[in-house]
Amino acid sequence: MIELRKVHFGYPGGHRLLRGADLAIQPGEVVALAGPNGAGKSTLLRIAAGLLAPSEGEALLDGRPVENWSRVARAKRLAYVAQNPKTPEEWRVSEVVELGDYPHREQPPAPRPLAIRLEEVRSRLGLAPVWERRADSLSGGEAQKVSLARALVQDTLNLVLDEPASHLDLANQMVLFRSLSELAAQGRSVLLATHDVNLSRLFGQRLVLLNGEGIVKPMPEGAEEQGRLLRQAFGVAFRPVQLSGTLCWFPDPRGENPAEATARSGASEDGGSKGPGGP
Amino acid sequence: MRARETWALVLAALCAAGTFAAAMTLGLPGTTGGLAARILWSVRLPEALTALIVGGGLGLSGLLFQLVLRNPLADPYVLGVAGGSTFAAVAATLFLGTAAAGGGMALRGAAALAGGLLTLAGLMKLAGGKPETLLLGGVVANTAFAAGARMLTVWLSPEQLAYVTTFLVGFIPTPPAAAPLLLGIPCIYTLARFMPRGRGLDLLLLSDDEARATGLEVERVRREALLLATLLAAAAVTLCGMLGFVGLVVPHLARLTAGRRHRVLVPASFLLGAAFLLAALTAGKLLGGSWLAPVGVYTSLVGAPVFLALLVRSSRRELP
Repeated sequence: MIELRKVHFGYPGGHRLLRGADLAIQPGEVVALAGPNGAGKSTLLRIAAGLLAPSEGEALLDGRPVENWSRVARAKRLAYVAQNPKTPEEWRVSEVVELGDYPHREQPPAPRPLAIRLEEVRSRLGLAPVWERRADSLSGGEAQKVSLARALVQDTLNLVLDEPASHLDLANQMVLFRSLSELAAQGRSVLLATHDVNLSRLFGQRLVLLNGEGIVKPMPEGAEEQGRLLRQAFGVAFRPVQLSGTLCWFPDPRGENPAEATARSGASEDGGSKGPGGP
Repeated sequence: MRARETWALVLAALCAAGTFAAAMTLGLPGTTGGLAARILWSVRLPEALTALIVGGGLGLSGLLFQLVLRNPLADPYVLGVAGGSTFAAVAATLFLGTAAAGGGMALRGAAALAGGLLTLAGLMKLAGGKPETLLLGGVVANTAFAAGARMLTVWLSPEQLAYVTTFLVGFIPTPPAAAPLLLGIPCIYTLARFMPRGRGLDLLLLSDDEARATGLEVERVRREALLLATLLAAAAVTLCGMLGFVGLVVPHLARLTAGRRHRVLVPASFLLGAAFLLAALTAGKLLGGSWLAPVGVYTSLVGAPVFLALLVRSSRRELP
């Protein structure tokens, strides 16, 4: 279980990104975190994964402050995929994926035999055709799947994935979101950052929004409230479309100019700060 | 371990053993009997042992530098670490003399280590993580240290001057057999420390966040690897002076033959480093004839074109 309590964070010299973000991902749950560029999604994920310490508040992993777990013990409980994963040069895909077994070698026993875990991720993510190819020769989407496979081989109960679908084609996005639901159904907690406000909800997953105010807001129930929240978060008008019983939202091309909206939301992000008004 | 990795290690071990035998026996002057035996045991054996351990140590040092700094062109020589060590060792020679054994060598070793560590720390602070700046800074540091060392030679006695001249090129001394222990201990420690932890070293190839999230104490491993790499380079400098390019070329040879996994690359770099320097030592004896050039001449003659080839290869790879 992943939990963030009243998390505050700001980079030195930058404005405060997170201002009391609360979020809990129960076992069996996939939570997709959306929000505009620069809202602090990656920062929040890194805090949840124990890679960054919040300036206030706390991040809990399975009920304990995440920094209280040793590195290896934490890696046996939580796996993380960065937004731009690094692929080792001239390594085969199978070798890169196998790196995910590290915490279980350092601190046995592994939950399940490595061969079974490798076979599972290979078929789950459709990596068989590239399994023995050089990982640095793959396309962006394939490389992203390799990094995800490495994290899945860690076989942890908690997964933190920073935009795992950003390079994936539409079919692979479906594979990913379906896989995440299946993994959650096995009792895992999954937290991911995404720019798609619909796909996760189509798979029955919870969507939360990180807006310019630095707090996490759940997607409300009512259509009107949903539209208002999305507009407030992204600064553009959205139009709803009913799809398989889920209300999906798409930016309205006939709405106001997004650039103006971004400028305005940027100004509102600075909140009460009284900076110099320009020359 | 995969079949290819096993074969690569066997091959590297055979190379090291073969070049060791060659360095012991080839190019012996036409003597027989007692004199030949004495040359073999009191000259050739310590020389070959020194080359074995110094070459292996430089191979390991280069591998660790390349991994930790994420730069395939890094090695103690290019990074200026060897230059800093050499300058400090020459300065120590000025004050302590050329004694190869006893307290003199230990103090020179300490000076070389301090010089190497200070150079590395200074350059890393200066470069702020930019690989190009680190390498260029290393080249500048090397030149500056070489000039500094030359300047110190003004105050050296003729005996010290002769010693320092070969020291600056890199040579294999004929030390007492115990001297290789100076480098033998850090070599064995590095092998014992990092061979079983090869998987941890592999994780350093990922991003720092991902390596941490996979369970690696990234900062600790990186610090330890840098310290040991510098220690190995400083010890090599203390014994043999400034041997260029061994640490650069050998890890690439190891990757070509043994693949990418560090539990194999660590021993392979040691064995191939040993073989490389032993081969250079033997080549010097066979090719030089009556004129015995210091072994550093041969390592640089081979290393410089390989360095250029790697440089061209890596710059081509970055093109769109």
